Amino acid sequence: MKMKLLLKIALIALLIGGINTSCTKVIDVDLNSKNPQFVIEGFVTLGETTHQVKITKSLDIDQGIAFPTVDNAVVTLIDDLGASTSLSLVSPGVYECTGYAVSEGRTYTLTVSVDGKVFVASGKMMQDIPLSSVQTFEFAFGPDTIHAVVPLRQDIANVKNFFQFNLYNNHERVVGNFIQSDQYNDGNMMMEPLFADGIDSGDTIDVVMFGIEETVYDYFYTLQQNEQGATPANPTSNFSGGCLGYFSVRTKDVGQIVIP
Amino acid sequence: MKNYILFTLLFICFGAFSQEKYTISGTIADSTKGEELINAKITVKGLGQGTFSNEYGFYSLTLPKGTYTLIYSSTGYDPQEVAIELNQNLVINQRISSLADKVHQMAEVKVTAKKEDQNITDPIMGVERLNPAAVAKIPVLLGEKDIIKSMQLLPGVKSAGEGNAGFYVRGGAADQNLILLDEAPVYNAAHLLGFFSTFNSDAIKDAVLYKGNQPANFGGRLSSVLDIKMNEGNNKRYNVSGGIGVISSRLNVEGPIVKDKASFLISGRRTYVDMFLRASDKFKDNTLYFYDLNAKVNYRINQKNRVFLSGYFGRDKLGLGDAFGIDWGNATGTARWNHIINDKLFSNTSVIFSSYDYKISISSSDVSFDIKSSIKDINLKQEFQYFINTRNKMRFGINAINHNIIPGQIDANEASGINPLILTPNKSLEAAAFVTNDFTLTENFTLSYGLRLSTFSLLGNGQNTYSYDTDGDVSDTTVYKNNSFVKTYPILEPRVSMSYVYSKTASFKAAYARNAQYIHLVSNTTTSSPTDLWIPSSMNTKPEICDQVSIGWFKNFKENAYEMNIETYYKSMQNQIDYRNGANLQANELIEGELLYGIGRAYGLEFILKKKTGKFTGWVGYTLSRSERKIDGINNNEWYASKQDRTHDLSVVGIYDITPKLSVSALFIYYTGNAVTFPSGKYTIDGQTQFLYTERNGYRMPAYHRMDIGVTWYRKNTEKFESSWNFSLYNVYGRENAYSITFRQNADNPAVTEAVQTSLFRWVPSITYNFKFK
Repeated sequence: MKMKLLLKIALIALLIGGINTSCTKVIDVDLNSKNPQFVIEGFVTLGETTHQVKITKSLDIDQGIAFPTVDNAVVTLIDDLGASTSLSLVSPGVYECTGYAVSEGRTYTLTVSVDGKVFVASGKMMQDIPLSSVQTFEFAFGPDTIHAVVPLRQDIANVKNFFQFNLYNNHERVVGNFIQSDQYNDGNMMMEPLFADGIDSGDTIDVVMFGIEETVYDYFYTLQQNEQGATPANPTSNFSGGCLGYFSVRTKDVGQIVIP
Repeated sequence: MKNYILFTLLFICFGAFSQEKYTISGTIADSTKGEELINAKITVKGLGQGTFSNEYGFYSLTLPKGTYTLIYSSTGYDPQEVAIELNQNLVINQRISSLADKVHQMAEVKVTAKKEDQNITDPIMGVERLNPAAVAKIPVLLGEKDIIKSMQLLPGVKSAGEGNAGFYVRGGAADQNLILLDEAPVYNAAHLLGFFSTFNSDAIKDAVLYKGNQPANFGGRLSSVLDIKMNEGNNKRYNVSGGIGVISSRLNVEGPIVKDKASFLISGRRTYVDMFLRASDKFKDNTLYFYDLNAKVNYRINQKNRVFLSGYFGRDKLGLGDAFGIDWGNATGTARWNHIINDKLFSNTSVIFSSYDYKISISSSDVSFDIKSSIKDINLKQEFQYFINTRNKMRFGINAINHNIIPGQIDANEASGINPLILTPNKSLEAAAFVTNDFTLTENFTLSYGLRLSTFSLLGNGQNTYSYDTDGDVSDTTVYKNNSFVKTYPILEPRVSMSYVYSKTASFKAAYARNAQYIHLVSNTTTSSPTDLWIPSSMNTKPEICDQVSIGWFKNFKENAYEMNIETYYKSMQNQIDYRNGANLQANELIEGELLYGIGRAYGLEFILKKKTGKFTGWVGYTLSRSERKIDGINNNEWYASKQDRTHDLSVVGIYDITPKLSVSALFIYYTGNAVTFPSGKYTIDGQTQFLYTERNGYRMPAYHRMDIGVTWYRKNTEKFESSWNFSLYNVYGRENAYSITFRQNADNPAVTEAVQTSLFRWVPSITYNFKFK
């Protein structure tokens, strides 16, 4: 559903191709500052026994990107059967537990206590959907050929499923926010393409697919909307306690393709 | 209680005289084209009494027995005096001739334009009337004459953005304007993503904008009514006229079918921006154009009966190669029957069809799917105009609209892996009964009062109807039988406005109006998008209601050559709609779960000084205003500036006729930037920098200003042919006005966040050649 984006491309095409008048420039905007907020990203991944939580703080716009890490948090993970573990600091801002097996259908609760504040989020492990294969899809756009990556998998009918993808082009992470839902193709072989810049013939593309929950999908959907011209807003976190970030309980599968 | 008093007032007929009285009635029309004139004035010489023709050129005037001289006049027409001996009812179908025709035929003519003072005497306030001829000389973007863009130069009316045909009236949203073309609502009045309006000025006769104080015969939107009437077509002789411009061409054909009895008009327009694209290697496979077609026929069956059939059809097409395409457009049709029941009672019956739809097509080698959405209205309207006496002019009638909305539908082939889907269609019935009376209490005090009772019923569709909790999650699902009444909202809308003329050249006016709106446009894009969706009022979404009070001071100088109007208004709005952060508004069955509701307020001061006659004409318009919303769930439930809030808005328009054949024009616009949401911080998610927002619409875009100039040069004017050239330069001093401001990381130094401003039009020259075969 990148329609609004495509409309925008068309508009730019009109303005550049037709009436050569649009222009962009960097300007100064006086922005307010905001007290630093905690940013938590927690992951529990099916098939893995090591799980990570990253905690950082936000910055003002003019403060660079050396986001401060939070190293004094107490982080615990517990499932709905009472199996619990604590995560310990392994590198600045990164907390980890090992030897904690997870399974489908179970609910996990992550608790982060820091500076007198407590942030809690829960998530349920969805049923695993494996990648069937990774294919490509080409089409011509003027003199250029656009290569899109198509991750095929069989969706489960009558269940809302949500997916997130990390793409690596020749082992380098592709910048972008790749999410899909089965809203329009419930129960089908899903083959919605992923469009990313800079994919050319001969590139090796690694695809990491995560089956995520709706709350996490919504989080990234909002980030995507923010880039597409809607009135931007902070995504709704599934953490209680007032922080940024999300806790993603997810399934995982990987695939690879060499662009023909 | 207030309503009862009004009601009682409505049915008391004032001014019972014992004298013997007779009625003069008939129509007033252009002498060369035979086109009926709207709002032409009929005055009784020396008596200060008179009336105006209605939207079909019909008038009725009742006077005591006697000898009178009637003056028939209209803006841009040579006034005509007619002496009458009134001892029986008379029918006078008066023809008057246009000054424009004279000006071009003779090298020099002394223009004796009549001195209008309707701004002072008319009780209705907050009203702007424009006809295409009056705005033809104002410079416009790409030379496309546009009635809506000219309207945006008036106080209280704001453009939705650079080059945009969308508009905001008195702090209201773009969907709160009812845009009528021959009575048919036009749902998406913009072409090419908003850069052009759907109204081809060749086909337009008259446009009136009511800024919230519309009489009770109009209803259905909160902020304004833009009532556009199409030309009827010359019933004397054939005309072919047209224009060739930079991005589009127009052709207009009109003429009699049966002379003086029946005529037709067909007017078309098509853009050719895609020709430019073809010149570019990169974009040559893309499609991008729009076209419009207006057609109208009318037949005067006899003196008492006349029928009209008019239609509009317009479409935009946009495609990226074969892979992606979107097309959208409006279609309207109006069938009307005018019946003069007697010399005091005029009836009009209309059957109106209106639709808007869009279709998105996506295809590749073996995959293809379409996404469609539409809104269709069938509208029945019966209106009577009762010219009771010189003091009272009444309108009453009923109106029923059936809305049918298909919010989304997906058709897909099997290979696409997409399931066909039809979102539950929305059916609803909007009905109204209205009565309104223009009452002249004394020569100096006039009153217009009316009442509209409107109702809206959501109809069952045999499918799930949802209720939502405060988090926007479904709390209840009910299935209502097809066409059963699910929920009905009745609203009484009183409207009253008055004018007190306290000196020959000045008046005070005051007005109050309540307006209700039952269907709402849901959009979270900054500019209008063809895929914005109309939703009806329902169990969850309540009708929007607005109460507006306004007062004004109207003063004319130098024998009405200068006109100054100052108006101030306050609006209080209920059940305003905004959307949740990160709302998914596309093909979403549970769309109402993404919405939030609250209240709004808007207030402002509008000033305009016009020079209406002489070689130099023009105006200065200024608006000082505020528009705010308070919605549960946004900005901690505190008041915030709405998108259309603009503190200052100034427009200066000047037209100078150097000779009758050559005129130059210029306009200057300045306004405060829109309220926007900018980040106040940043953070990292999944290794990428994201922005942190503190409040919605907490920042301002930079102020906007620009100047345009134009030259209109009438070349030839003979019995058979006339032609003119129009040159214009948009944004003379090349101001880079911000169309959007986005934030990104500097490519070389990711630690630095830059604000990037995109500007659209700098120095856009255009040239248009207009011709007419007579």
